[in-house]
Amino acid sequence: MGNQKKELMKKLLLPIAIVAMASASAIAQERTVRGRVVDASGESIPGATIVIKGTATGTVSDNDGNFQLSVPEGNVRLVISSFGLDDQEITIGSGGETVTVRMRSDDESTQLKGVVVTALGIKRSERSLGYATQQVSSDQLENARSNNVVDAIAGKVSGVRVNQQSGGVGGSSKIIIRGASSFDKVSSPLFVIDGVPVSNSSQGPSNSGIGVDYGNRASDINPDDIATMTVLKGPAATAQYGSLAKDGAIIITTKRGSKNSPLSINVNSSLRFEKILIKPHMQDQYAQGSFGVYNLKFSNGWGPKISDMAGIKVDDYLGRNGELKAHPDNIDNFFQTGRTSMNDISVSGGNAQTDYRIGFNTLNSRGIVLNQELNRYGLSSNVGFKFNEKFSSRFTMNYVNSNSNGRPVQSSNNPNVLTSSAYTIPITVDVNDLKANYVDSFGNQNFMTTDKTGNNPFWILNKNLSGNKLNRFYGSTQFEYKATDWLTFSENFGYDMYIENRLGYNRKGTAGDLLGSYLTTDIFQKRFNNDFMATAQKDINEDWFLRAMVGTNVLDRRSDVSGLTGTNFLLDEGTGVFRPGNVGTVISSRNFSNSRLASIYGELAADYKDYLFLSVTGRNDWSSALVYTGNFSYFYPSVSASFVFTELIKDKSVLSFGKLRASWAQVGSDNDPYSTLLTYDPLISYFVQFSLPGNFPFLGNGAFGQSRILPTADLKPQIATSKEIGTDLRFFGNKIGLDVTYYNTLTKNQIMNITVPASTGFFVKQINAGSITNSGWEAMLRISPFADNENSFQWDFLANFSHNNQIVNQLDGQLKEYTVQSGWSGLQIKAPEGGSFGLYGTKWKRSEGGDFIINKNTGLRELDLNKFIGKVNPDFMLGLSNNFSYKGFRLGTLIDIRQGGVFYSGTVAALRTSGMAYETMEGRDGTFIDKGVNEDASGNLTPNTTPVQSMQDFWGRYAATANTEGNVFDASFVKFRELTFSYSFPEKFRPFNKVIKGLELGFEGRNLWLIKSHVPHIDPEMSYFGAGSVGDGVEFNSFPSTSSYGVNLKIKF
Amino acid sequence: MKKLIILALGVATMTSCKKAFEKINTNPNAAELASPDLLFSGASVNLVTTRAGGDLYISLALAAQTIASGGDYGWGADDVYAVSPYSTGNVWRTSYVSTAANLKQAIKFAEKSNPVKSGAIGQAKVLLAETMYETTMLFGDIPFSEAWNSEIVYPHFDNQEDVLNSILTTLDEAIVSLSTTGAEASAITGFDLFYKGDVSKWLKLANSLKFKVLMTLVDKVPSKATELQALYDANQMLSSAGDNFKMPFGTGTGNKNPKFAILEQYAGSYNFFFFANKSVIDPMLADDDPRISKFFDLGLGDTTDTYQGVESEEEADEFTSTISMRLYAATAPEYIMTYQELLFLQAEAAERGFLSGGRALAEEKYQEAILQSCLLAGVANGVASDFAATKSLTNLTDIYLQNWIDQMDRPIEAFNTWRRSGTKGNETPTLQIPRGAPNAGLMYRWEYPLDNEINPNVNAPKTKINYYEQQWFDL
Repeated sequence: MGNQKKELMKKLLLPIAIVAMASASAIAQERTVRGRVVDASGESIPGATIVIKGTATGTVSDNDGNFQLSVPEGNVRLVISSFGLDDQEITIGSGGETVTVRMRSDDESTQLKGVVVTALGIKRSERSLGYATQQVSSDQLENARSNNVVDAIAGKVSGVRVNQQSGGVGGSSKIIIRGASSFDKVSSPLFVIDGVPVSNSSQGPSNSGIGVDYGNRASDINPDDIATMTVLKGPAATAQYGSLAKDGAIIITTKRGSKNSPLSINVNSSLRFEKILIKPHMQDQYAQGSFGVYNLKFSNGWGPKISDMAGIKVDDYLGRNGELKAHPDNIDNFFQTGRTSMNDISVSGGNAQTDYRIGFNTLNSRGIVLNQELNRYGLSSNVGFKFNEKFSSRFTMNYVNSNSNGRPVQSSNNPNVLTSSAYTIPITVDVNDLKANYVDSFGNQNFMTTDKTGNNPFWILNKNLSGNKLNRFYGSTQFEYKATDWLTFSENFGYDMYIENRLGYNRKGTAGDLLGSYLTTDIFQKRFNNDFMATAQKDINEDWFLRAMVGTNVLDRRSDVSGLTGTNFLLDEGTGVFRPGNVGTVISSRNFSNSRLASIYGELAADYKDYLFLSVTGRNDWSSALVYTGNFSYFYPSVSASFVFTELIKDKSVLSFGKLRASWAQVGSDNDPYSTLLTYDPLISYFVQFSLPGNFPFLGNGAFGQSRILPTADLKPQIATSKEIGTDLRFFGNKIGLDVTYYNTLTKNQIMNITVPASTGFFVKQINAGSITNSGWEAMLRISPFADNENSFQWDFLANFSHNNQIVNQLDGQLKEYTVQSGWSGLQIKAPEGGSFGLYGTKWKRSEGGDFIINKNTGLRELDLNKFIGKVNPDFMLGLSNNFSYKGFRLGTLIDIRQGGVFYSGTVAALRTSGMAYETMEGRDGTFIDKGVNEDASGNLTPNTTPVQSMQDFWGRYAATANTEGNVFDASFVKFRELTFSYSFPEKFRPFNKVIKGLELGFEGRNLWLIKSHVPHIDPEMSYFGAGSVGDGVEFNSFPSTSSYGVNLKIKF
Repeated sequence: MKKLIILALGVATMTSCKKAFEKINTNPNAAELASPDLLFSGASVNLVTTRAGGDLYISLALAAQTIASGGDYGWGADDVYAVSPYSTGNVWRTSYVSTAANLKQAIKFAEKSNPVKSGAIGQAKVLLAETMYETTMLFGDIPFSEAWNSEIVYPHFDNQEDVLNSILTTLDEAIVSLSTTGAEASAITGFDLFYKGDVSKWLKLANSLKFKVLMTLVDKVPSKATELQALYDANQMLSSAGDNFKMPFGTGTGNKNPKFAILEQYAGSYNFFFFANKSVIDPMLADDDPRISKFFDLGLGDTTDTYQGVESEEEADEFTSTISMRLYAATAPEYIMTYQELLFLQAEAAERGFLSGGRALAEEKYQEAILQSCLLAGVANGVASDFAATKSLTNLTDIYLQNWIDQMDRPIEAFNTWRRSGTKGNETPTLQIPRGAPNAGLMYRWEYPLDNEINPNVNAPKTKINYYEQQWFDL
C-alpha cells in the first residue's frame, strides 16, 4: 500500500506547486471551459463534480454529463469525481476550452495509472519495477470466458505457455512461465488470490490411476470475480513469496465495491456451444477384418473393400445378416454439440466506511459426448470496512461447488479409453445402431467384436463413468493499521481448503474388468497462510523516497487422501451401489501429508527523483521438510533496479517514455515432506501385469516393504538464481509500446528423484544435484495508432513474443541423461546433459547416408531403440491480438502461434494401425516398395526391392505405438484462439434506461480454428502427462478438444 | 528499533518452532523400523505372484514353448519373442526391489534383534537364493555382490559363475542359521505361507536348491559333481510331496492365482487364450499319459473327446485343447520347487554318473519322479503307479522329456531344464523357431531391461545381448 501513499503525496504536492506558480504569475483573468463527463463506454455521467484543484471553485455535470466552468488563464488542473468511479485529474492548457473527461472504475484506472499489484499484494507504480510483469485485465478475462481461467491467459502474456491437457469438460490446463526449471516437479506458477497462495494442484490422466483427467484447481476461480491479474514472471518479482513462486506467480485481486457508491447490479451471461475442434479424417471404403477378409473379431478397417462385397451377405456384430454399407457420418453422429451456460450476477456498492461486492456465478456445461457434464457454482464476497482513519479491514470469502461426471479415460492399454474405442468403430457399423444396441435385452454388453476384448463406446459412455464433487472455501481476513503517516502494519490471514470426492466405476461386464469395480478417492486439502508486515516509507527530501518493509509468513499445508478400490460387484442393478458392502474385495489406502514453512522477509527500497528506483529484498525460510537436515534454515536475496531515462530527456515527441530495468534474484525451495529418512511402508497391494487385482492382506497376512525411494539425508534447498534485464519504451505519446526482456535463470541443487538401477533395491534415489538454465527473450509490442483520439475509432494491436532456451547443464555428475517421464513402449521424455528436454524412443534405422534400412524379407523399415527424436519445447510462442472499438462496438481477436518442438500422438497411431485413417486407403489394392536400402550381414547396402506385402503390414509397423518416430509430428501450430464482438448500447437505445445503466450484447468464440497444424486428425495441443507433470509433447488417445462459440449479455443495473 | 524487536521475536519463535517442525515432519504414513516377518511376507507374495503373473508366466511359457498362444486365435506375441520390455523390467524390479531388497532388510532386522532371529535369517536367505537363481537363469550375468548397498548407486554385474557360487554361499549361510539352536523359536511362522515356520522343511529346501544350483554349474565346472554326491549322501533334501515348496492362493479377489485372475477379468473365467503345445501334449498322447486330462481341457467345440495341441504360433481353433482350468484354478498353488523336480535331478545325476548307483538309481528316481508328478496332477494312485512302472529308462533324454512335461506349467524351471538338456541345437525336446519369429534363433535368455537397469546404471554392460545368445552355464 506504500506506493499509493506516495502517489498521493505526489499528487498533492505537484499540483499545489503548479497552482502556486500559476497564481503568482497570472492575473485573475478568467475563461470558460466546457466539457462532458462520460464513462468508459462513452455514456454520459450526470452529477459528477468538477473542481479546480486546490480551490473550492467547481460545478456539477448536468443530465447529459455536460458542464462549464470558469477557470483562470494558463494551465489549470481540474479534479472530476463521481460515485463509484476513480477521481480523474486533467490539465487544461491555456488554449483548451472543450474537453471530454472519461471516467474509469477503480480497477481500470489502477491499470491505466501504471500501478501494478506485485508480490504480497503491494501496489507499485510500474515505472519503479526492476523486473517484468504483465497484467491481464478483467475485460480480457470476461470476454470469451473459458471454463478454466488458466486457458484465458493463453496468448495474452509473453513467456507464458498454457497447454490444455485434454478436451472434455473440466479437463486440466497446464501453465508454465519461462520454461520448465525442474526435472521432476511441474514448474507451475503460484496462484495468489487476495494475498493468499491457493492450490492449483492437478492430477493428469497419467497419475490419477485410471487415466482420467480431473482438472486443475485453478479452474475453480470464477473469471468474473477477477479485477486484476498480474503475471510475475521471474524470481525477482516473486522473491518475497519464496519457494512456492520460484516458477512465477499469478497474482489475482478480486473485484470489490467502491466506497460512496450506490448499489449496482451486474449480470454477465453467456450461452455457448461446443463442437469437436479437429475431427479425425476417416476412410470410408473398407470394412472390418484382416488382410482384406471380413472378420468380426476385429474392430478396424482392414477388411474388404465394401464395394467389392456388393451382393454378399455377412453377419454384423449382432449376428444380423446383410450387405455391408459404409457410414461415413459416424464421427459426426458419435459426437454431439456441447453446451455451456455461464451466469454471473454481482451486487456491489459502498458508503463512506464500507464497500461490498457479493457475487454468485454458475457454470453448467454439457460435453460433446453423452453423460459428460460439469456444473460449477460459486459464491464470492469481498467486504471492506474502515474503522477509522487509521484502521481498516477487508474480508473475502469464496465458496465453490463443482460436480462433474463422465470424465473420459485417456491412455493406452485400457479397454475403457473412449477415443480408441470410438475411433475404431468399423465404418460398416452405424453409430446410431450401436448406440441403440449397446446392451442386449438382459442388459449385458453387446460387444463390437467377437473376441470381446474391447468395449462398445456406448457401454463406456453409459456404464463406466468417472466424476468428482468438489467443495472449496478460500478467502482472507486483512487488517491494516496506519500507525503514523509513515508506518503501516498489515496482517493478512488466508485459508484455502477443499474436499474433493472422486468416483469412477466400471460396471459388471466391462471388457477388461468383467467383474466390475469402482474407485473412490477422497481428497482433503487445507492451507493456512499468514502474513504480518510492517512498512515504513518516507520522503527524505525532495529527491529521495525510502521504503522499508519487514514481514513474517507462516504457511501450513495439510492433505489427507483416502483411496478405495472395490472389485467384483455383488449387486449390479440400476444406477449402481458403490459402497464397500457391495463388492467382493476392497483395497483402501490413506495418505497424510503436512508441511510448514515459516519465513521472515524484508525489503529496502529507494526512489530517486521518481526516475531511479532500487529495491533489495531478502527472505529466510525454515522448512519442516528439511528439519532433519543441516539446512533447516536458508536465506536468499534479490536486488532490482529501474531507471526511467526519459525523465532526463527533454524532447519526448518521439520517445515519450523509456525505462531500463535490471534484477538479480535467488529463490530457495524445499522438498516434499517426510522425504529425508528411509521408511518402510505398509503394503496394500502387489503389482500383477494386465491390471489384475493383487492385494494385502494376502491370505490373512499383511506386509511391509522398504520405500522405493532412496533418500538423501542431508538434503540442501534447491536454489534458482535469476538475472533479468529489460526495457519498456513508448513512442509517439504512447501510440507504440515496446517491452523487451532478457532473462537467465539457473536452477541448481535440484532436488530430484533419479531412476537408479533396480539392483540397488530402489526405484529412484533422491538427489541434490543437477542444474537447468532457462534463458530467453520476451517482447511485447503494442500499437495503438488512435490512442490520442479518445472518443472515436480505436485500434490496439498487441503482440506477445517469447523464446525460451532450456539447457540441462548437469545431472549428478555421472549420469548423462535423466528420464523425466515414461510413456508406453519405450517412449520417454528425457533430460540429456547439454541439451533440453527431448522426446526419445524408437526411431527408423538409417544408414550413414540417411537412407532407411529396410528388412529384405518383409520390406518393412528396421528400428533403432532409445533414440533422440526431437525436443518437446517450442522455439517460440507468439500471441497476436487486435482490438477495435468504435462507439459502442468492439471487436477482438487473438491468434496463438507456437513454433517448434515435436509431438507424439497415440490417437494417430491407433487410427493408422487400425486402418481407420483416411491415408490408410492408399495402395491397398497392390503392394508398394518403400524407399531405402537393405543391409546384409556384413553391412553392405543395396537398394531395397522387397515390396511391403500389404498396407496393413506397412501401417502396423509404421504407426505402431512401439514405433515412436512414426507417430511424431512437428508440434507447431497457429490457432485462432479468441474472437469477440460486442455492442454496448448507448443510453438512448437502451430499454428501461432509468433502471438499466449498461447493456452489452456480444458474440464470443474460443478455439475457433486451428489455422495451421502438422498433426493429422487431432489438436496438437493435447498432452497425456497432465498439468501436474513435467512431461509434454505426448498424447495417448486424448479426448478431443473443442471449439466453442456463443453469445454473451452483460447488464448493469 | 521496532524492526529489530520483530526480528528478534521472529528468530526466537523460529528456534522454539524447531521442535514443532520435527513433529510436523514425522511421517504418519510409514515406519522407520520394520519387522522381519512383515518384510518377508511382502517379499514372498511379490516373488510368487510375479512368477505366476502375466509378466513372467505368460511371456516365458509362450516363448519357451511349454504352452501355445494359438496364433491370432489366442494370446499375444510373446511366442514370437516380442516380449514386452515392461515385462522383463517388471520381473527384474520384482526380483531386486520388491523381493530381494526386502529380504535383505528382513535379514538386517533379524540380525539386529536381540536375541538374533536365526530362523528368520535362514528363511530369508533361502528365499533370496531362490530369487537370485531365477534372476540369473533368466538374464545371465547380474548384479549380486554390489547390489542392495545404499552406498553403491551403480552396482557392477557379476558373471554368472560368481552369481551361482554366491547363491551357494547364501544357501550355506542359511543352512548354518537354520541349524542354530533357537532357529525354530525365531522362525517366521504365520507370515511364512510356504512352510509355516517349519525349519526342518526349510533346511531340506536349502539343500535341494543347492543340488539344483550345482546341477546348473556342473556342465561348466565338472568338479561340482563331488558336492552333488555329498549332498545326496547327507540325505537332507526334500523327501516327499509334503516337502514341496509352494505358495497357496485364495478365493478372495486380489488373492487368487493370477493365471486364473487374468481369465476371470478378461475372458469370463474361461481359458480362451492358452493352448496345449505339441511339444508337451504330443509325447503325452503317444504314451497315453494319464496326466493328459489333468493338464488339458478339451477344445470348446470338441465332441469326440480328442485332445490335440498346436505348435507355437500355429492357429488354434475351437477343437484345440486348452491348458486345464485345474491348473488355472483360482486356488491352484504356485510350485517353486517340487519333490519330483529333485527326483528328476537326482535321476539325471545318477544317469550322468555324478551319483554312484548308475542306471538302477537313475531309473528308480525317474519312475518315482513320474509317479509323484502324476499324483500331484491328481491322477489316482493306482493309475499313477501303473503308469510310472511302465516308464523304463532308456537314455538321458527320457529324463529331460519327462521333466519338461512335468514342468509345463512352471516355465522358469522348464526353460532351465531344456537349456541344460543338451548343447545348442540338441536340446530335449527339439524346438522350432515359431512362424513369424525372427530367424535369429530360439530363445536362450531374456534381454536385460533397459529402463530399470541398463540405462541408469553406468556400470551395466552396454553391448546388447540378444535373446538368442546363450548364457555362461549353457553348453
